[in-house]
Amino acid sequence: MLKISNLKASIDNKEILKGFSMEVKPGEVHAIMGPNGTGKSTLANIITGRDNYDISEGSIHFLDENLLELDPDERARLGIFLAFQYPVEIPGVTTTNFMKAAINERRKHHGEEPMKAGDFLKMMKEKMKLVDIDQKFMSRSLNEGFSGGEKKRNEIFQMAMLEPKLAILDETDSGLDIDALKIVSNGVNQLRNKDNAFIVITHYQRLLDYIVPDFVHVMYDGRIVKSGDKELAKELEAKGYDWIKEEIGV
Amino acid sequence: MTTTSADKFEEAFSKLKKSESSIEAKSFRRFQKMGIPNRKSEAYKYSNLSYFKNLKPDTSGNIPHKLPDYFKHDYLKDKNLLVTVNGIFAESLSQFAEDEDGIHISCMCDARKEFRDIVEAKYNTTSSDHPDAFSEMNTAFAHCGIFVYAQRNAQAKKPIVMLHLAYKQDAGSIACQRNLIVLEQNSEVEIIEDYINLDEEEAFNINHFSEYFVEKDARLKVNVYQEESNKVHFIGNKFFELSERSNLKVTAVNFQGKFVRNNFRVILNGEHAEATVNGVFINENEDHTDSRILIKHNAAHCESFQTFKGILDDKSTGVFNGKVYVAEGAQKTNAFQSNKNILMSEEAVINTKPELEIYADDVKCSHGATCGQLDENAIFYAQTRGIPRDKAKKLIVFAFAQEVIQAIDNQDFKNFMERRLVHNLGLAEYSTHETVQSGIKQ
Repeated sequence: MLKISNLKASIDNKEILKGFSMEVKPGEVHAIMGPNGTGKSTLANIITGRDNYDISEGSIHFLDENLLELDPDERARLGIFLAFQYPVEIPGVTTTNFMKAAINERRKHHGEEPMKAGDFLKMMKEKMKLVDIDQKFMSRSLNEGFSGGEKKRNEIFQMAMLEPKLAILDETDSGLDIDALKIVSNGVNQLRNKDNAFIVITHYQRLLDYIVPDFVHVMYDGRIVKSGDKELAKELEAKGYDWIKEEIGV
Repeated sequence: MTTTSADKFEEAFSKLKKSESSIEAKSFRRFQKMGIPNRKSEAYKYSNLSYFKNLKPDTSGNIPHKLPDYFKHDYLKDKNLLVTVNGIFAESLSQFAEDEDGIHISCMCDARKEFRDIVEAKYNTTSSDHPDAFSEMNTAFAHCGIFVYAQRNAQAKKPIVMLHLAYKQDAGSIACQRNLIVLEQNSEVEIIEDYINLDEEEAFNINHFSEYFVEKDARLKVNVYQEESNKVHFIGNKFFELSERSNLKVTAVNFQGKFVRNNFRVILNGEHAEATVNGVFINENEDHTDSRILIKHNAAHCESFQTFKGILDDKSTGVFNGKVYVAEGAQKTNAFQSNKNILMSEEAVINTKPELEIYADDVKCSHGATCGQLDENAIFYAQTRGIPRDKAKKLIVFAFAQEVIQAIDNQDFKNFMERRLVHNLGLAEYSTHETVQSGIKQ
């Protein structure tokens, strides 16, 4: 589904990704862990198409399409979704309107008619339940004045609405209390199926107790330095990252 | 020998046969002396008026037989609808809803007979402090406009809608449209003013001048909507005088116009009066919009609020000049002013000039002006949801303009403005309204 090969990317002449490779197949959940500043968020940005990076080498393919040639919205309509670490506030645009725009763009892409208002509202209600969002948020400006937890739940709500094939969760657990973490994880788990895949970027093993990954990768200095299963996450939690650094000799 | 514009105005004025002692003649002489302002005039520093130098007063008197169907907006239903055509009140096109106690609506000509004392006491009394060539021109050449008079304690339940139409003007002429609105003590009126030209291919030129008197405890709302063609040159002067504890709220929405100059002047003459003047405009192509606001705090304990937003694309230009003046003794004044602009192209230009002039020492005044590009983070965020970049930008512009539109109190009018905004930005498919009603320009 997703194949990243030897990706090298820099911003302002500073190389962030230094030969990053990974492959994700349908039905899989990959966790990417690692200390701050190792390029985890950069990776998420590059997969989704943020354009302020220079890509000097490597490739990203998604469903046989060369992602690097596509605009962020084209990638989204192919089925890629990013749950932001810091969701953006857009004053004046309600969550309802925003989602309606997003859904109808996707439908247009697939040659379908815009969704009927009744069906849309029904779908909204259903998905709101999934992450326990109050209806009043839907008519409020997108993310404006939302608490950290509300913003993260809103990201998962949007993910549920758009039903992506590949969802990237960029530190969705940061700033969440344990209840919100459970709600968010539960939402994600209900959306998991054999046809979609997740990349979960996180600092902590805590989230992975709830969203159980098939693979855990440790990212350091712009590439994956160690991969394993969920036990690796537990080991990291117990021992920190230093032993990995030692193991790879830095 | 060529005929100059001044000659044309002189000739037209002599045909009106006004006595030299009349208000009209006095204004005309002042106008003659001032001439059309040039850029050396501070008030018009960023607006080129040379176009207006070649015009003459419109005397066409053309009135269409009926209003086009597209005026069947919900916000007009069951309302008092007053239509002027090139500044002339057109009774045949107007509709009067059932009478409301103490609310008098008529043309200016009838008002001069029926409410002579009021007209004489108020008419053309707001402009003497700050002479303006266009308001003087207007007074000299104004046709029979609209008169609204709310008697003491009268409350208009329905908004009064004014449609100011431009229609088959004389070539190269400017029509002078004039209103007088008087709210007596503790009365309440809401006005919607809609400027429309009936032929988008024709060039129209309008000189509009309205005077509004809001007496003790009275409450006035004025919603102004301009969506004229890109061939319209418009100069509007709206002067307001507020007495004690009166309240004014003006919202000016401008979606199109080749040249639009709006001059709002609010004089707070009584203590505890409050004025809000909000505006939003969208400029494209080579449109030019110039908003000039003066709020003058002459009395203590008054409050004023200004929120103006501009969206400029292509090679369009805009001017915001908002001034708050606090007179000596106007203590405890609270004045707020905000001007925000989005430049959507490299070639668009905004000149913004917030001004404070304060002669009292116990006041709270704040002002701020910003201009910038759209937030790239927000655009990217929308794109990651599958919304194309162009639409994402429009969605953000929509949201930017919404702050002003959402502050409109009249629900019908607010909905209508929202639909126009959606339509103009090409976001109809995103609208939460099930069907986007056909608007004026369809």
